[in-house]
Amino acid sequence: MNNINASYISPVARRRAKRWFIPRIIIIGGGATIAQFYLPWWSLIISAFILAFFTAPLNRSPFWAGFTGLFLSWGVLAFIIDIENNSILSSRVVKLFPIPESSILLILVTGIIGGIIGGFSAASGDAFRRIWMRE
Amino acid sequence: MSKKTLKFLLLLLITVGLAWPYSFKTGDLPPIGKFFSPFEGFWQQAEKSDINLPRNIKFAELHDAAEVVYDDRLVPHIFASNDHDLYFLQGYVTASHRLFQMDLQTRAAGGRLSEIVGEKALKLDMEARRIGLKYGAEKAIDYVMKDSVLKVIVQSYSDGINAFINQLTYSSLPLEYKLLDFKPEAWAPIKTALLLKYMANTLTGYETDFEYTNAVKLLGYDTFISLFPEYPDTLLDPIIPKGTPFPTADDSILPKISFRPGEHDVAVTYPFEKPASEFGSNNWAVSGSRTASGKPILCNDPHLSLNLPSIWYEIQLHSPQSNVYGASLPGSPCVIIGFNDSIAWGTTNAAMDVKDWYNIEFKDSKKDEYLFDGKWKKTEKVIEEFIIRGSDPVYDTIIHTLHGPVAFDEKYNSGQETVNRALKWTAHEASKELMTFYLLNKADNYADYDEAMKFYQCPGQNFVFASAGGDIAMRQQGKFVHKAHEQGRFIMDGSIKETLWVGFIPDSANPQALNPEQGWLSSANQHPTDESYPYYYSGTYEYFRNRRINKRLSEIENAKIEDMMRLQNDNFNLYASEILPLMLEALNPNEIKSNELTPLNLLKQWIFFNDPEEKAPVYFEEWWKLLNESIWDEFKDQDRRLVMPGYFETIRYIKRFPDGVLIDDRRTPETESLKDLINLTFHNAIEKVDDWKKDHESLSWANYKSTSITHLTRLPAFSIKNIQNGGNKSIVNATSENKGPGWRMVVSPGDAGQAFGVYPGGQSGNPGSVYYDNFIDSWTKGSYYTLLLLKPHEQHQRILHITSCSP
Repeated sequence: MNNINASYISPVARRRAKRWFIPRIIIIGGGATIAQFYLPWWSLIISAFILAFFTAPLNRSPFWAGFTGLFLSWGVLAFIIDIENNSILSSRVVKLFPIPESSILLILVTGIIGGIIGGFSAASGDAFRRIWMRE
Repeated sequence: MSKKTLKFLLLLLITVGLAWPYSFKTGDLPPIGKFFSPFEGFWQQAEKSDINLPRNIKFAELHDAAEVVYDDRLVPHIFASNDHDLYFLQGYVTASHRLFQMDLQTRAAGGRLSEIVGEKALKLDMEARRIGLKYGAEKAIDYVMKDSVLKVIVQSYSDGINAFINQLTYSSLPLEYKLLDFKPEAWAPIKTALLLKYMANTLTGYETDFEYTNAVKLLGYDTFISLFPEYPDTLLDPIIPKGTPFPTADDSILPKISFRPGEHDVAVTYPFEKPASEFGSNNWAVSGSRTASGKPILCNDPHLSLNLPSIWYEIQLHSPQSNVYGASLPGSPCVIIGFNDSIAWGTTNAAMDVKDWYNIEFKDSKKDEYLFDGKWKKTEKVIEEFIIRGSDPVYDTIIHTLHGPVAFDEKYNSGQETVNRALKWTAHEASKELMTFYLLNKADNYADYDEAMKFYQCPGQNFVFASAGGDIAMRQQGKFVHKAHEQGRFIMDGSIKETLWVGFIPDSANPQALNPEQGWLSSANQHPTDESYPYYYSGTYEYFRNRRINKRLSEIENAKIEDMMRLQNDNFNLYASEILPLMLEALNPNEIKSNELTPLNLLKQWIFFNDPEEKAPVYFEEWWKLLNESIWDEFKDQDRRLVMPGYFETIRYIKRFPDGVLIDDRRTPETESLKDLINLTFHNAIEKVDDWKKDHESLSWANYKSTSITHLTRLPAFSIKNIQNGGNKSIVNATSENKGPGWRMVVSPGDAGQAFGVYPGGQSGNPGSVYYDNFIDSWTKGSYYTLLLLKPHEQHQRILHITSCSP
């Protein structure tokens, strides 16, 4: 094992990384969601960073795990709020931006905005861990 | 540094770099992370469709238990056991629905918009301070706080607003704060005074001193006076019925000089935004002798800018002292237009000129002294600070003279000649208009109304009144200047003492009428009186709505509530009926092109109603507008500020002087006769409408006029466009492109359940609420809601929610 090139990933490790992709999304997304219910929105940066740090050995796609986790965190909550509101607000707010006037699109944009910062936060946390991690 | 460290640092840098625009405003973009977060950003303003209001609230400030009952239109009905608690809760509840509006309007009045939107509002802010809105508000609030009754009202209202502000978190902040990224500041009584001065400014825009001075220089006095007479020679239908006796005036104190423009009155541009002179209103009261029920009916529809949130907020205020329902102004306690179980009242604007400009001659550029009555008098300088978001503060020195603040000088003059003009305005005087509304709220009869009027100074209003006891009354109330002939009609010389205001018209001499023989009283911004009124006054008056209303009121016997509603929504175009036949007559049949035949036939068959689905008013209004512009071209192509004669004077001029010198359109080489212009503008109008048709779907008056109700930030996203409503300015239903009847009320006082009203908006200022715009459809169609004057603990099927409040 010691003589293996650093960039080489064994098939076993690759399968394990794939298996842990969805759980990692749930851990980062869920953890950040809980934090945001009690703390300001930027708590997601810290929680995604920390959770990606701890889950680094399990999976190698921190950006997409963080992105998807926070995309869902923001997107699903926005979707629920929008349903309960009959899209009254979203149909107006969407007109503030140069995008087609669709509530669904505004929900997607919301998810993407959450996803991007979530993705980079998770990627940072993951990369921080990997400075010391032996692979 | 290893590759891994580098990768980490790079990712961290991106994350932090992203966190910046996510947390802070960049350009016009709100902080996108904060704003979009569904946990605390704009999504939090999405209200659930079944409204989520608290069952109980505790307020340390309350003296006693109280209740806020919301009806199904989200109108709060406040039941309190004393004045303090009543106005505390009015402040709290109003702020909970309209905080941003209250904040924005009072910032505009205080000249503090730049603090939230930056440099682009600086000019507007300087203007507000220069014309003395803050100056007047400060004087007024000092005076108000000396009154033991008003002090409690204003202070507890303010405390109520602060109780709401203090419990706000970022998540619960109104949407506009999130979008513009600022926080509400604490409310204070001065803000209520600022709001009332702001209204005073909106409603006393009927000052045309600059325009008239310029017009006299341009046209000569004789032509000027024929176009802008103080009283028209025909068709005058004043507010106070002709033949009503007036007290005599003591004119011996008046100066005996001529006030016509002199040599010093150089023509200059006018740097201020002027409140539109189309702001107007209708109100009337019909006595029981002319109604089907035998009880009086009172109607009122004030016309202001159509905005969201609406300028009006409906409320019921109940305490052992009073029980009133009506339209309130967010930012001011009490009901402004409304009714209780004994009386009803309403207001329209008195268009009297109470703003006068004086020319000031300074000794030198230091402006420490100015010439008055042969001596140099000391000025007083006030330095105003303007805090500007994203840039350094700006300072402006405002110079005060005995003629008021020098609002207009070379610093504020678009780089023109050195001219200094001071503004003398009744809104600069200490006053307590709020007392009038407080007393009207709890008035029982005519004597109470009469008492309430004494406190009212500015802006001058026509207060219509009706009581369950059967009285109807009208009074033009305000502090009006006792003027010599033409005093204040033009810019005045500030260096002589003869131009000073010598006093005010006594309250008892203000135009008024009680129970006239004709059985009704009405006002629609027309002349308050005929020429027999002994005091000199001038203003900008309206000549169409009043005549239509009076004609209908004289025709309708046994008036019912529905008749009154129909009259408020009346689209009859009186000016069209008085000029279109002449215009059609003048058309040369040989020059009509084939595509003009259909419009021509529509016009010929039109019975003068500007109804929403009609096509004829489109052609007429466009034709009439173009004709006005080509006749009054003299007023357009000047570098000086001028005002065109109104429709009434235009029609009069055309009929009397078809060959008048002003008719010719000097913008063209040919000399046109009236007939030429009518023909030319007809072809042009059809062409313009045809152009419009190319990129619009269906031609109708509503689509062409395209009334919109604009959000206070002017953001199209929160505005409602293309309202399908008829009317126009100078029509009883005065709905123009962006102004119109912002509150319609029809009440039969004392006849329980006979109170109706509607306004084009909704109780909530939140664009994420179903109550944001839910009245607009009813308003557009001309239908009304029954207004509930609830009794304490009354069970009513329209009650939506009850919040119990306890100390």
